[in-house]
Amino acid sequence: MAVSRVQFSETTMLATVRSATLSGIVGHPVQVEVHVASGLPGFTIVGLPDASCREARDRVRAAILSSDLTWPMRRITVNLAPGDVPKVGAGLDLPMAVGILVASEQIDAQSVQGLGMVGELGLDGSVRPVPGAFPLVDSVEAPVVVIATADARVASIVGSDRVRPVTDLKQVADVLAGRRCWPDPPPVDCSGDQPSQPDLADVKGQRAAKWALEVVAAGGHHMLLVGPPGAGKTMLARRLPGLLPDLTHQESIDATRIHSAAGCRLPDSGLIRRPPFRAPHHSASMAALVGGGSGRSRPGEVSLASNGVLFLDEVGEFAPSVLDALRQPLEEGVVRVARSGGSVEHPARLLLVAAMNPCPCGEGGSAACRCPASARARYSRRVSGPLLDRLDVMVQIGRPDPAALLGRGAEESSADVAKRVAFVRALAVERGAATNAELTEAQLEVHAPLSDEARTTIRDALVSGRLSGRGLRRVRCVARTIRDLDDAGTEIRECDVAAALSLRARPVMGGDHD
Amino acid sequence: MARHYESAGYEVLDRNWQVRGGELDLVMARGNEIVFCEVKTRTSHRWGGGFEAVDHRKQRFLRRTAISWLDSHDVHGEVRFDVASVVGSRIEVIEAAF
Repeated sequence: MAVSRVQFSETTMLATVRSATLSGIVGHPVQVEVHVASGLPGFTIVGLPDASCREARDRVRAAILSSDLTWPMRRITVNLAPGDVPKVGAGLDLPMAVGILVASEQIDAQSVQGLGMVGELGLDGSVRPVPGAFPLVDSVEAPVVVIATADARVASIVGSDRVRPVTDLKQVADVLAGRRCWPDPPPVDCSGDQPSQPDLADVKGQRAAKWALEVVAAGGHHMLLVGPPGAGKTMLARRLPGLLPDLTHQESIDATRIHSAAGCRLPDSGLIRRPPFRAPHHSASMAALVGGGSGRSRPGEVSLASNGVLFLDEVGEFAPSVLDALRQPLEEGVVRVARSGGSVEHPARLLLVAAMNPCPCGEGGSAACRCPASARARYSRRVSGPLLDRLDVMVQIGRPDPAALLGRGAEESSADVAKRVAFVRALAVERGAATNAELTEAQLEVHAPLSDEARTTIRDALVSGRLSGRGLRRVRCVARTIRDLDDAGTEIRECDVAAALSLRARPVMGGDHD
Repeated sequence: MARHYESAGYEVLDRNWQVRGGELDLVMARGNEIVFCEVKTRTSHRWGGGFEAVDHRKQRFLRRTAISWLDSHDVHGEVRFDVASVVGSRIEVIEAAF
C-alpha cells in the first residue's frame, strides 16, 4: 500500500463570538467560544444549554453545509460563557455557526471583532427571528449586532446603526469575507401602527357605566363590572384602552421589551405605542397570569398588560388561588417570581377590569333568576374579599334600555372622553404620581383635602364597617379623580366622596327577588 | 498501515486480535506507550468518512477490548487510542482520538 499522505493534525483553533440569552425579560450577555481541535469528528455544546439550544448541533451543521461552506471534520467544542447562566432558545445558532467558520479558518478572526450575533438557523442556512430580539440585542456586549431581518425593526429600537439585518448564513459569510456589504435594513412601515380600536360611541345608553369607565381610565383605578349576559360588560372593557393616552416613550420601550421577550406579535414599526389589552381565558394557570413557568421565567399576563388593561372576563370562573396571586402585583406594581433557579422581577402596573355575572344563571336581581339562594351566595363568594377590596370601582350593569339601544342619538366618542382622561392624568403627574390611584396618603393630604362634610361621610362609612383602612385611601383617590373630571377643584366635597363610596359599594350579588 | 507506524518507531505487538465481543486492529508499543489503533477503510467518502464510524458505542467496545488485551498480556504503560482512516491510498491518523 502506497502511503501518499499521512497527516498528524495538531492545530487547534479558538474563536469567540458575542451574543446574548434571555432570562425572563432581560438579556444576559453570552460569549460563544468555539474550539476546533484534532480528534474524532464531533460537536459538543457546554455551558448550561437547554434542549432547544442543544439541538443547535444539528441545525448549525446543516446550515453550514447548505450554505456551500465546509464543516470541519474535527472535534468541535462550543462553550457558552458564563457557565452559570442557563442558555435558552435557538438564538445562539448563528454565533455558533460563525464561530465554527472562524475557528476552521473559513472566516478571518479580525472580521468578527466588535460584532455580536443573535439568530436561529434553518437547515437551509436562513437566519430566523428569535423571541426577545429587543432585550437580547440591548444586552449584547458589542457595538454592532447581526440579527434576522424579521427582527430588525424591533431590534432597531436600541439604535438602527447598531443593527445589521441578514437573511441567511451565506450572506453573513460573504460580508465577513469582504465579498459584499451589509444589506440595507428593511424600510420602516408605520402605516399599520394604529390598529382601529373599538369606539365608545358603539355603546348605546349605559350612561352610569360609561361614566365609571371614564373615572377608571382617568384615575387608573381597578374595576369590577357585574351584569347579566349580553349587558355589554365585555364591550365596555374592550373600549377602555381607547380612552387611555398613548404610552410615553419609556412605557413604549418597556411594553415592547416584555412583548418581545414573550414572543408576542409586535406592530410593524416595532414599537408598541398604544396601551396593551390582555384578556386571558379563565382557565389561565398561575404561571400564565403572573409569570414563571419551567426553565426561563416567562412574563405573565399581568406583565404583558403592564401600562395597559388586564381584562378578566367571568372572573368568578378563575381558580381562586390564581386570582389571589394578583393581590401583590396590584398593590406593588411589580411581580417578583421566585424559582429555585433565581428570582426575577417583572413590571405589573396594570389597570384591572374584572367582569362577572351576578349569579350562575346570569339573571340575578331580576325575577327571571332561577338560582337558589345558596347557589347565588356560593357564586358571589368565588371572588375573595381581599381582591374585591382592591377593586375601587364597581358597576352594576343592567340590560340596556331598549329606547337607547334602538335610538339614533349620537353617543360620545372615545376621542372626546380620552381628552378629559388625558387632562386628569396630566393633573396626577403634576401631583407627583403616575395616576390618581397611586397618590400616597401624604400626597392626598396636600392635593385632596376633605371638606368637613366629606370627612363626616367617610367617618360614617368607616364606623359602619363598609370601608377598610386600605379602602379609605382608595376612596379618597377615586374622589380626587371624580372632582378632577368635574371641575378639578382642590377640595374634595361631600358629593365627590359620596360618589366614590357608591362606586365602591359591593353590588348586590344575585339580588333579592324572593 | 502497520508499516507506517513501524517507520515512526513503533513496534507492532498484535494484529487483528480478537476476543468475544471485540477486535483490535493494531496493538503497538513505543517506549512507555501502548497504542491501540482502529483502522477504518473506505473506498470512497460517499457514505461518510471512516472517522465518523467510530461513535461512542464503538469507542466503548474498543476500550473494553483493550482492557481484555492488557489483562492477557504482560505489558504496562500509558495507553493511547488512535483512529486511522484509509481511503484508497490516502491515510489519515488521529492520535489520541478519545
